[in-house]
Amino acid sequence: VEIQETICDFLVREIATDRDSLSPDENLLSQGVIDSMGIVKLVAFLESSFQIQVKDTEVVPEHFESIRALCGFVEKKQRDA
Amino acid sequence: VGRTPPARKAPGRTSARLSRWARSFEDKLLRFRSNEVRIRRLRARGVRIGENCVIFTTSFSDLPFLVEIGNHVAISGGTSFLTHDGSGWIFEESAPDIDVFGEIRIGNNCYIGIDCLIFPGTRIGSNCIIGARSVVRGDIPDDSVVMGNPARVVMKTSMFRALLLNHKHRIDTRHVGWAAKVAAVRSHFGLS
Repeated sequence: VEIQETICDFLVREIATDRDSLSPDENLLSQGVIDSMGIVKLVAFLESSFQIQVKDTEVVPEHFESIRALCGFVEKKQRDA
Repeated sequence: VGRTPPARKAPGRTSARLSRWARSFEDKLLRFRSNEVRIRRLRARGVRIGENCVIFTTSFSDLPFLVEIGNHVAISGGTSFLTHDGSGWIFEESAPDIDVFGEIRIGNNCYIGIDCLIFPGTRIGSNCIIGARSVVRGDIPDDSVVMGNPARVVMKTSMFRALLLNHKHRIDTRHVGWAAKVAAVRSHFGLS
C-alpha cells in the first residue's frame, strides 16, 4: 500500500493527472496518462525512492501499464536486491 | 597554453577552401529542395543511404563516405554526423599529422530527432529512436530509445510504441494533405 501511495503521489504531482481517476488497474498507457519523458522521470523516481536499479530492458509495457504492475515490479526488484 | 601552433601551408588548401565554400552554399540550397533531390546529392557526396529514407540534414562532416544509413530511416533537421575528431589540433607539436576518424552506421527503421550530434565510431542498431538534441556515441543496441547528453538508452522501443499509440494527442494525419492536417489538428485542440 505504501508503494502504491508513493507512486500515486508522484503521478498526481508530476504527470498532473486527477487522483480520483487513478485506480490500481487503470491502464496508464492506454489512457495516455504518461508520455516518454514522463516514463524517464518515473524511472528516476522509482530508483531514488525505492533504492532499486531499473535496467533499460526492464522499461517495457508489462511493468508500467498500471499502478498495480508498477508496484509488483518494485516489490520484485526489492526482493531480488 | 596560449602557444601558437606552427604555421603549415598544406598543399591544395585554396581548392579545399573553395570546395568547402561550394558545399556550404549547396547545403543552404538543399534545405529547400525535395527529399529525393537531397538524398541524391548526399549519395553523390558518398553517404551510403538505404531505401525509403527521409533526410532533412546535409551535415555529414568532411568525410561523408564514412556514414552508412540503412533502410527506412528518418533523420530530422539540425542533426550532424561527425566522422572526424579534430581535437588533435592541440597535440600538433608532438604529433603534427595526427587525425582521428570513425565510421557511423545506422541500422534499419530508425528515427533521429532534431539537432542530434552523432559522434565518430557510433553504431545505432535497427528499430531505434534517438530523442531530440541527443549527443550519441558508442554502440546503441537494436530496439532502443535513446535520449540525453551523453545519450543513454532509456527504454525499449516496445515501450515507446505503447506510449505513442495511446498518446492523448495522437491524430492520424500522416498521409493526408496539409489543409486536411491543419483542419484536423485545429479541431482536435478546439481551435476551429
